[in-house]
Amino acid sequence: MAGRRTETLGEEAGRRGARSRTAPHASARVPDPRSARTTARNTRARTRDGRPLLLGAGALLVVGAVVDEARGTGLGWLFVLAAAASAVLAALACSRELTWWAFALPPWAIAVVGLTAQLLADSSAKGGNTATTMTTALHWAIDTFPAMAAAETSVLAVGIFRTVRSRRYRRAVHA
Amino acid sequence: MRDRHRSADRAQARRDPRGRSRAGRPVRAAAAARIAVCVTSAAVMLTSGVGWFAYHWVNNGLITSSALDALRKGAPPRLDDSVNLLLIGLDSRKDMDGNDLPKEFVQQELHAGSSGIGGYNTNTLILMHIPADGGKVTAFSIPRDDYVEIAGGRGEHKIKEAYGIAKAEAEDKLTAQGIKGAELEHRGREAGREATLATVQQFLGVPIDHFAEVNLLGFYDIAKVVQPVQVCLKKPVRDRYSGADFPAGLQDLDARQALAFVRQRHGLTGGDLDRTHRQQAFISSVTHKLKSQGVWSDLGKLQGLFDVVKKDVVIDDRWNILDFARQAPNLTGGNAEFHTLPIAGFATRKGEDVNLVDPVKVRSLVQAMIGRQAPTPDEPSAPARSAAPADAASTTVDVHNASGVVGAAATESKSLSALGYRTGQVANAPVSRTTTVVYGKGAEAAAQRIAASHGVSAVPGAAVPAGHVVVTLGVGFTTSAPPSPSPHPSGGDAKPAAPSPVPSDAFQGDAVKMGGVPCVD
Repeated sequence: MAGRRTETLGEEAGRRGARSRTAPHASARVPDPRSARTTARNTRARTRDGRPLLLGAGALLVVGAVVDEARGTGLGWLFVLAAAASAVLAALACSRELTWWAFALPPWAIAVVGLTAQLLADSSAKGGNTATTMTTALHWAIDTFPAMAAAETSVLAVGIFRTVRSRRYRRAVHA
Repeated sequence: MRDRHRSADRAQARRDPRGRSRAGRPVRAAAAARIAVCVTSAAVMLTSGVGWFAYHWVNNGLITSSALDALRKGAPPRLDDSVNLLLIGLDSRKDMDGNDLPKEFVQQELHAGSSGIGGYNTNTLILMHIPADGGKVTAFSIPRDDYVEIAGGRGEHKIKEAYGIAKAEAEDKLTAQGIKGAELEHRGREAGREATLATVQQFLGVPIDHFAEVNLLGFYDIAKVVQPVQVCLKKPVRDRYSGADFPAGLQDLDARQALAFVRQRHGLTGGDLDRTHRQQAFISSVTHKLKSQGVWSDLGKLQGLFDVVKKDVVIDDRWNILDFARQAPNLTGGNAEFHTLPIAGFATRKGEDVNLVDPVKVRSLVQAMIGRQAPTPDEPSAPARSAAPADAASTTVDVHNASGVVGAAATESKSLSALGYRTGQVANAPVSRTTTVVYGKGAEAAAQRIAASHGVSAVPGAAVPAGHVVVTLGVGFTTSAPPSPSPHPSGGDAKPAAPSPVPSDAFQGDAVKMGGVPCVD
């Protein structure tokens, strides 16, 4: 584990770590205790680095919802943009092993933020009859689906980008 | 050395199975949690996507109009988030592109003569006020023959003619520019809508937020989707013009009969005004049916309705169906009341029978009903009409026409009949300059009211039978309708009525309450 390169958002940091190794293969096969300690420190540091990004992603999503609601037009394109940007941040913050979180998290986060914004901004959404519940649910769907779709597309784009870059890097190293 | 390695491997082999078994549960649990999170996340997104697609499926393909844009600048100020929706029923036998509907269809199904008849009259104009708090909906039917100032400096005409006049004007200009065919029809209709909306807004003094326009074909198609519709008639009717042939009591109507039901005016005591009540009752019956069958919350059933709406109904381009559905649970739930706006009398203008109206009074009534302001204290309507005569039904009114205006006596007799008086003799008389009202024994009170509406005094007449009033219309007679005394119980439910800001008899006839199947004339 200590010798394994962890691809995180700190891809850059990972690359720096990789560059610092004069012989990556040798290093992977024969861990140098000093190098292992450094990598472990880096891994912890990178894990810590991801948290502010995740928090930033959440904050960005909330800000998008608040600004859109404040404009009086309901959740619109600003919320969609914020969701996409948040998803990119979240995807970059996750390590490769945790990429599934980057896919699974956005629908939940967007659903919760969208519903909260709707309930706070529109008092009529809290009605108890069937028609009101149905229209509120439909409104929620209309407001959140474009944001979810944009977020998932962004995560997918980040995933593809990272995979391509990682392969290129491996080819370069093996060459 | 080799043995040492072997023993180390064995030790490792012993540890591994134990290690796996210890770590196995958390690993499996973590995997299950991961799957659960992914599946629920996918479910959330799928639910959202289905809702999004359903909404866009419903919304796409609606025929929209930007006619309201022209009105927004000069609209009366909005005081709250209430919504005023104008329903326009267009008496046109043409499709959206201006093509004649098939002759057989118009004659046999619509029972509406030929495609050349009807023009572009807006025979139904209903303003629905949906309060900001989603409370009880108040609807106002505007009698189609109300003689009002048409917006755009087009002078005074029947309100139903605003659409056709503006359309014809626009088409003349557009034709000169070389526009023809469907484009000409669409743009002409847009001008017609603008004029109708502006005229109603100006007449009622309230901003119109949305509108929906449906023509004869649209009505027929909608009725076809919701048929059979149960209605209730107080009396049997038969009319060859509309094709109405119904017994008294509750009955189920198909689309063709439904159209006849809402179009009949010949043979009804109140003529056009009774027809207005028929339209209100029909809307109530349809809403009741949709609600009782749970159509409002059934996307599958709504699909058929929306298919028709997309084909035949024009709505304004700012109408968000979803927001409207949320704002109007009381409308779909049947908590609404229809009123017919009062007229001030009947007269002949430009050779046509028209309803005279008092725009100030109408505005005051409407605004009082929707909570924009209290009715003006000096408004003649409210106090004057609060004392509805109880003797109207026992008073027979004979009307003699000495005015020289063709049909004046019949029109007057009809209007008095609509107000509950018994119809007597209708005849011509030698031309006279003065209008007189003469009464027999026991009819003094009724006579005085009728005379007051003509601006004259009633006098007793020895030759007039007891319980009779003889009205002789002189040259230049003027009429303002006396208060409506006839109770027309037409509510579908026996719900206790909420206190109304204006007397119930301030309107033309009784209100029709939604929420059931109202029984009407």
